[in-house]
Amino acid sequence: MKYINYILPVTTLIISFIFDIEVVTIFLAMYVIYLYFTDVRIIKRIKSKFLILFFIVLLFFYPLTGSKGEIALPLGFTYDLSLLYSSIKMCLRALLLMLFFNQLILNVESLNLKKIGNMIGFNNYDEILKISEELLPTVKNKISILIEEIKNGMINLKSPTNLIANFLANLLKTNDINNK
Amino acid sequence: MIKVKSNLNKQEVYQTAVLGSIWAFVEITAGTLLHLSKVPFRGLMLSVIASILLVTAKNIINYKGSLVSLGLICASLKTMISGVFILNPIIAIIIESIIAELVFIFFKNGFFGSVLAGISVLFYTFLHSILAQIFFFGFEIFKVYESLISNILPIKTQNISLIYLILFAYAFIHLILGGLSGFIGFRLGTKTLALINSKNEIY
Repeated sequence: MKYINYILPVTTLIISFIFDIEVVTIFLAMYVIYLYFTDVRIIKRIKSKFLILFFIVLLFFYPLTGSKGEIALPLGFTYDLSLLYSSIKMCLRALLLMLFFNQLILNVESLNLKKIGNMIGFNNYDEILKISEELLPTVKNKISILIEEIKNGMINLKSPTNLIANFLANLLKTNDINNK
Repeated sequence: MIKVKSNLNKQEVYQTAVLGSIWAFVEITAGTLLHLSKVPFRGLMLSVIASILLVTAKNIINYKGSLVSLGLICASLKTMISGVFILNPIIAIIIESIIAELVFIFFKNGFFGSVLAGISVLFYTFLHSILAQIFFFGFEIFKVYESLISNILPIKTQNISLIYLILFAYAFIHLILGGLSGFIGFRLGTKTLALINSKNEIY
């Protein structure tokens, strides 16, 4: 099952580059059905409003701009079938690639950042990560206080650079490092 | 190959931890806010923030590989705190930090290097968005844009395609914002460093 999750998207991807639109459509349909029953999250991930809008533009508006215009529409508009064909091809390709990448991304459950750190000689990774974790609530608290003071007009915002530099310097001061 | 300085001193460890947690906090809050607001150019906005932070950081923690270390810490914290592993933003954080680090290896962290690092980080964002569109839709996507734009906008260009002009403008906006964020990062970094080094009481 684990290998199927890698083999299937790769095979579908290769098919999309070799075969014509009709074959790709059949494979895409089969691939979607397979994903629906095995891991529906992959399909849900591409349910973006922007993408749907983009597909609508490709399938309905782009063919209206063609010069051939085989189908006559009201108000003098014409619909170009060759452009519609290329739009469908583009949509299928995009859909297939997005499903392919979503499946691969979901298979990569975690990236071993510590291992990457070791590879580049980052020996203090664990130590710094531990301190960062401990510091995060303090950082969050100090940023919230700063935002609140700005909102209440308690801080002069004439020079944002000076303000942020002061804020950073206060956090980064290391003369009392042992107490932190 | 990028290598991190082998044994960091206490100050370097502490300052990397602070800057790492600031970047992670900004990534989590701004990232979530932008994601929920659904505003366009969210990636561009996060890249501007990241580039300012990276350039500022290099002017404060100047050891070898400091920015890659920062990127790894930020990515680890983001994964730990959000509780889910989302590959795309993690990869973006690491690539941005590697790009900035590479620029600083060749140009040092002066004014020019800082501006160039900002430009490079934002240019990566531009390239990423363009290459992703070409990858998913093919080169034909430019024909679609050109056809739609030339039908909507009453602009006629000679010798050069309208889509290339728009692409050029889009790249130009990224480069300007990159240069600006590099400049802001440089000013912020040098000012912060001066304040840290001064023994005067801050605030």
